[in-house]
Amino acid sequence: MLSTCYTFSAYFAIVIFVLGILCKVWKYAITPNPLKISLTPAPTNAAGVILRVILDASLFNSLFKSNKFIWLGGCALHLALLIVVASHIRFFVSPVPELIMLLQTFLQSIGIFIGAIFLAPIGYLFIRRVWVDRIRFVSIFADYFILILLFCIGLSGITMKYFIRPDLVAVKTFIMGLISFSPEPMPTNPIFITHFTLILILLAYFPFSKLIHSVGIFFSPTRNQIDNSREKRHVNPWDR
Amino acid sequence: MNKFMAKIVVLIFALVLLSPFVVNAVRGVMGSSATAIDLVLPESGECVKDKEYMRANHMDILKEARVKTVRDGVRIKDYSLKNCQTCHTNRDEFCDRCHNYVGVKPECFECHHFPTSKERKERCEGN
Amino acid sequence: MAKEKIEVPKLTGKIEIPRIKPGAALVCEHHKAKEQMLTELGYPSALVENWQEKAIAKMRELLNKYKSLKLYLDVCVRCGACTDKCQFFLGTADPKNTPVGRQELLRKIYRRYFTPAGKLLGGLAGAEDFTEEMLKEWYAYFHQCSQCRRCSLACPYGIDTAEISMAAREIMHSIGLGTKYTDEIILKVFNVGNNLGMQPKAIKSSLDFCVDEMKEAYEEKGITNIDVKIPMDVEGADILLVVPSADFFASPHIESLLGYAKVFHQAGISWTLSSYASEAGNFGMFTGSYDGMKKVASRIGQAVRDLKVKRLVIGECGHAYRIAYNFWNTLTGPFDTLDPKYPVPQHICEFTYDMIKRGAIRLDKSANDEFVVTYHDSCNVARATRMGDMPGGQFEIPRAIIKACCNKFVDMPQETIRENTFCCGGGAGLLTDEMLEIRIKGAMPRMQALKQVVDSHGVNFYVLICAICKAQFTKIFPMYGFPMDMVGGVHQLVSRAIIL
Repeated sequence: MLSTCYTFSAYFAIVIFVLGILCKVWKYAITPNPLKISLTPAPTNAAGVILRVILDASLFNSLFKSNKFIWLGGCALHLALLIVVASHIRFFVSPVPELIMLLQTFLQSIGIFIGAIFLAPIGYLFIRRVWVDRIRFVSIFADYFILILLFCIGLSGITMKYFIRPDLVAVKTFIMGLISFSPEPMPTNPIFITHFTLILILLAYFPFSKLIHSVGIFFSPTRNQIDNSREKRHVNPWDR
Repeated sequence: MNKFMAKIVVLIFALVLLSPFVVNAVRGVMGSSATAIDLVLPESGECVKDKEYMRANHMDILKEARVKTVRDGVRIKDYSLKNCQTCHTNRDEFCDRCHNYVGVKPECFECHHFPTSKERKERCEGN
Repeated sequence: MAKEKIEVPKLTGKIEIPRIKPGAALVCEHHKAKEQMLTELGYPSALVENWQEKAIAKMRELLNKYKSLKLYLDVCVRCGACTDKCQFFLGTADPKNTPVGRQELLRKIYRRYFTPAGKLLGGLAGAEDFTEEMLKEWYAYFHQCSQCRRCSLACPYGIDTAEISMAAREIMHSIGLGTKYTDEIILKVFNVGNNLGMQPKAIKSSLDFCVDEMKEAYEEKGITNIDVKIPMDVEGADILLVVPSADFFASPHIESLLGYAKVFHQAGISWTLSSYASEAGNFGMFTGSYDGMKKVASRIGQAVRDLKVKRLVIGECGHAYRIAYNFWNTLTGPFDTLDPKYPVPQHICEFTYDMIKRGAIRLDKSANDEFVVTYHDSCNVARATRMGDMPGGQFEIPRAIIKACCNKFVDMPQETIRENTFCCGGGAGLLTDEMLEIRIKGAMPRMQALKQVVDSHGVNFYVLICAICKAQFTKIFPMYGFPMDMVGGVHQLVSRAIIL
C-alpha cells in the first residue's frame, strides 16, 4: 500500500516537475524580444555573451558586484545544493562510476560539514530576510516557505545520515526501481519517508515557484543579447 | 528564437531533467530488475544483533569496537572484524556487494585485512 | 497635492540607506491625462467600466509579446540585492519605490490571474486582486520609475524594472489612464514634430538669434570672420543631426548645440537639422507604447530619406540615445541609403572624439581654466548604449572629450559613475512640476556624490549629455545650494575650447 502510493506519487511529482519546467522553457524560448535591450556595457559578440551568462549562472557575477552579503549566502546555499545533489548521484546509477566514488570518498571525509554548509546558509538567508526591513517588506510567504522546505529536507537528510539510519540498499533499490520503471518496495524508515515526501513536494512545486529562476537565468534578454544594434538590424518578429 | 531552435532548447532541457532515466536506459537496465543485488549470506546462525539493525547500523558497532580498542584498550570480541569473518568469510561476496552498490567506501580495510574470495581460495590451495 | 514646502534632504556627501517608510511616496501623483488627449492618442477617454477585465486582457497580450515581461515576472526571488539601488527609494524611503517593491505591484496581479499557484492559493502565493487601491498604487509608483536600469545591473538575473514599468503604463493607458505630461508631449510630436511643440518657423528664428548672439560674442573679443551656421532642411547634406528640441531653445542646452555647430564647421563637413525630425527624444518609451515609439521614430527614417543625407548623428540626449542606438534600426530602419562606413546612428560625442583624434579640430584647454569639471554619466547612455567599438566606450569617449577641453577634471565616487551611475531623478516622464518632490528626492544620491567632489576638489562645473538631466539639474541644483549655471553639456565645453 505504502509502496504503491509512493510509487504513484513519485511519478506524479516527476511528471509535473519535468513537464512544468519544459513548458516554461518552451514559453521563454518562443516569446519574442521585440527590441534590443541588452544591459551595457555588454559583449559585442556571441562568445562574450555566453561567457557573461555562464559567469552569472555559475559565480553570480552580477550579484557579487551588487551585494556581497547576499552573494555570500547565495553562493553558500547553491554550492551546498550542488554538493548535496552530487552526493545523491550514487543512488541513481548502478554500478556507481569511479568518478562518483572518488567524490563520495572525499565527501565522506568532510562528513558532518556537508550538513552544516547546507543548513547554515538557509538559516543565514532566513534571518537576513527577517532582519533587513526593506527585504522583509518585499518578502512574501512563498519566500519563507521555500527556505523552510529546504531546511526540513536538509534536516531529515542529516538525521538519516547520523541518527536514524535507513537500510541504504533498500533505499537505492527503491530508487533504481523507480527510474527503471520496475517498482520495488518503499523503505519503511520514517525519516526516509519524510525526506522523500518533502522532496516530492519540492519537485511538484518547483515549476510554479520562484525556483524557476534556475531556468530563467539563461533566457534573460538584458544579459544574453549581443550589443550590436547598430551593426546588425534586430527585427521585431511581430512587427516586420 | 524561432520554433525550431525553441524545440532544440526544450530537448536539451528535457535530456538534463530526465538524465537519471536516460542514463539508466542507455545502460540497458530499463524495465528489468537487474538493479537488485544478491548477497552471499551464511547458511545458518544469528549475527550479534538482528538483521534489520545490522543492515542499517553495523558501522556503529564496528566504530564502537574500534574506539574502545584503540583508546581504552578494551577489546569487544563480538564486535571485532575477526568475529565477522567467522561467518562472512569473504569481503567481495559480502561487504563489497552492498558497499559498492550504494557507493560507500568503508574505512575498515585501510588497516585491516579481510580476505577476498580469491585470496581465500588461493590460501586453501596453497595449504 | 497641497503646495506645502518640500523638505530638501541635507547634503552630507554620504548616501545612506534609509529605514523604510511605507506609503511615503504614494501621494506624489502625476496629473492625469485629459479626455481629449487620450482620445486623440487612441486610448479610452476615461477609466473604462470593465477596467479590470480589460487590464488583464492587455497584460495577457503583452506577456505574449515581450520575453522580458514574461520572464521577469516569474524569476524574481526577492533576494533584495536591488533594494538599495533605486534613487527614488534612497530619496523617499518608500519600500514600494525599491525595484522589487515596484515590480511586485505588477507581479501580484500576474500571480492572481496568470499562475496556478496564485489562482489556487491567493495571498499565500503572493497574489492579490486587482482592486482600485492597487490601481492607485500602480498609477503612483509606476510613474515614479525613471527607467534608468540601475536595478537591472544589480539583479542576479538582470530583471529590468523599466520593462515592467513600461508594461504597467501601457496597461493603464489601455484602460484610459495616462499622465498629462507625457501624453501632451507625445501629441506635440505627432502634431508638430517635437516635444516643445515648436513650429519650424520658431525653431528657425530661435537658431538665427542664437547664431547672431554667438557672432556678437566673438566680435566683442575682436574676432569677426566667424561663419558658423546652423543649417536646417538642407537636402543632400552629408550629415543629418537630430537633437532633443530643448537644444533649440532651453539653457544650457543651446550652448551644446553651438558646440555641435562649431565642430561640424571646423571639420568642414556639410550638415543639417531637419524641421520634420526636430526631436531626438521619444516619449513613446515612457508610456511603454511600441506603436507610439514607432510613430515618433518614423520621422527620423522619413527625414533621412527626404534629405538624402549620408550619415545620421544624434545630439546630447539620454533616453533618446538609447532609442536611437538600440531601437531606430528596428523601428524605422533599415537605413540602407546611409554610408555603411559610419555607425548608424552615431553619437555626437563619437563624431567629435573622432575629429579630435584626427586633428581636424583644435582645442584650447585654457579656455575652460576657470572650471573644475566633473562628468555625470546619464543613465540610459551608460546602461543601454555604447559609443565606439569597445564596450564601455560610452564612459571613455565623453571623458576623453572633456579632458581634451579642460585641464581640471575629477570623477565623482566610483560607485556613482559609469555603469553604477544614478539617474538625475527626472527621466521617463517625471520632469513635470507636480512631481517636484520626487524629483528632488530622487536627485539626492547624485547630489551627495557631487557634494563630495565639490568639497574635496572644488568642482564647479557639472557636465553631462542628456536634455532631461540638464533640465532637471538646472531646476534642482539651486534647491541643494549649487548654482544653476554649474550645469552644462559636454559640447558646451567643446564650444568654449574649440579654436575657430
